[in-house]
Amino acid sequence: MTGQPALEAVGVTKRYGRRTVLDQTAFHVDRGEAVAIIGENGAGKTTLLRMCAGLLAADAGTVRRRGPVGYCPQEPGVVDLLTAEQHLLLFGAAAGLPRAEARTTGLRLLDSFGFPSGETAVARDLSGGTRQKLNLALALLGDPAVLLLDEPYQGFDMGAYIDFWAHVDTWRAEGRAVVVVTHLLTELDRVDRVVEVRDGRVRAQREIPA
Amino acid sequence: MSALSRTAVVAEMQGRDLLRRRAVMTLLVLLPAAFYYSVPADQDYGLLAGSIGVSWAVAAAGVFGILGWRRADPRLALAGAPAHQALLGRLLLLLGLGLGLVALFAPQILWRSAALIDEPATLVGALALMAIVSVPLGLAIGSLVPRELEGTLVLIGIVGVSMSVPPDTAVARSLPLWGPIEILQISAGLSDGPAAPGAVHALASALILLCIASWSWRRRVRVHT
Repeated sequence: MTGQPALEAVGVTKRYGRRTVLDQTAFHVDRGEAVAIIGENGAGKTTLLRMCAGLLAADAGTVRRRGPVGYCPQEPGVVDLLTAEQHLLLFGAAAGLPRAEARTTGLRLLDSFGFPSGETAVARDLSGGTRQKLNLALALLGDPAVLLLDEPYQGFDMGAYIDFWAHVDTWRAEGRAVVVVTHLLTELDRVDRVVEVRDGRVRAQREIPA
Repeated sequence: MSALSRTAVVAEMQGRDLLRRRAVMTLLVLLPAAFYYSVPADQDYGLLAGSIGVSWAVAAAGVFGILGWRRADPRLALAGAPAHQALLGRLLLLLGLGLGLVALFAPQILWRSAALIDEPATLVGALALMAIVSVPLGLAIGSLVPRELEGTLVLIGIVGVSMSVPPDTAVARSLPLWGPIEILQISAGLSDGPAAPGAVHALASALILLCIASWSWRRRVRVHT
């Protein structure tokens, strides 16, 4: 892959009070590359992803993003009392999409994740996995160049889980930079590179052979 | 998509969200009435209680409207929504709700407390100003506090002190609801003087609260570079 990385974190540090969560962390993701971030609970994976998204300020270091970012948080960042279609219109408007385009694109995304067709329940009343599919679709609505996914398959059934990794292949083939925070080490052969975060630092990066 | 269309979508979705909170909407309508009708018709304290009920209901809708979306708003900003449009959408929706509430409630006061009211139009103006100040009050509180509980307690504090503090003191004048309360007193003949200072105080308070809400909101949904 040539050119500048789609996402680049350099010397990123984050402290909460006296506790240093991330210390001089660095990593990058190229266009058309899928990277998995792994690590124990509390290692700083979610903090790193939120800083990469721009939702959290770094105490030191820089994060450079080239192109629109789609972020899928671990806990669905949705409005409890809006339906899926209303979410599509709201997030589509945020991304500058006209209503018709937001609806069409969003419904196509939802359908590709196996979201029940014609579902009119509000987000609060959806099952965990179904709500997570909406959460994921919203991250993709603005056609992002960088996709940051924090354990995005929580609550998925087996079929949806397998489909998710097939989608990662597709997004990568489309030239997006994909970052997946994951605990499921069995699927690491589906990404190009694995970044291990331990005690607030990137301890290891290894390429996965094609 | 134009800025106006984006703002309209935020207002529409905030409205849909609030309309589905049936208990909240029921309380929004009933609260001012409960405050007002709990005082005998021949006591002027009922006017203050009713207007404070309007403030409480409208500001609470603002607090819950903001905090109910606290997980989604940063994502909307990340998706590209300018901060001021999201806030403006809510402001317009809540102003509509607040003035609608005043339109429902003012005729009841004018009918039941007719004997107490010297200037009916001034009373309606005081209630409208109460709603106009309370919208940015709710937005400011919702933007500043992390959760609904803290927001409710802060709102109880501001509204409660506004009710209990003597209106001719410096403390009363420093509170955002002083202007509407002063005009309310004038409408009932309980205070002399023109309504203009109260109106200016109310509009200035609304503007200051809006600036606080805007500053705090931008901090909350800022995308860091």
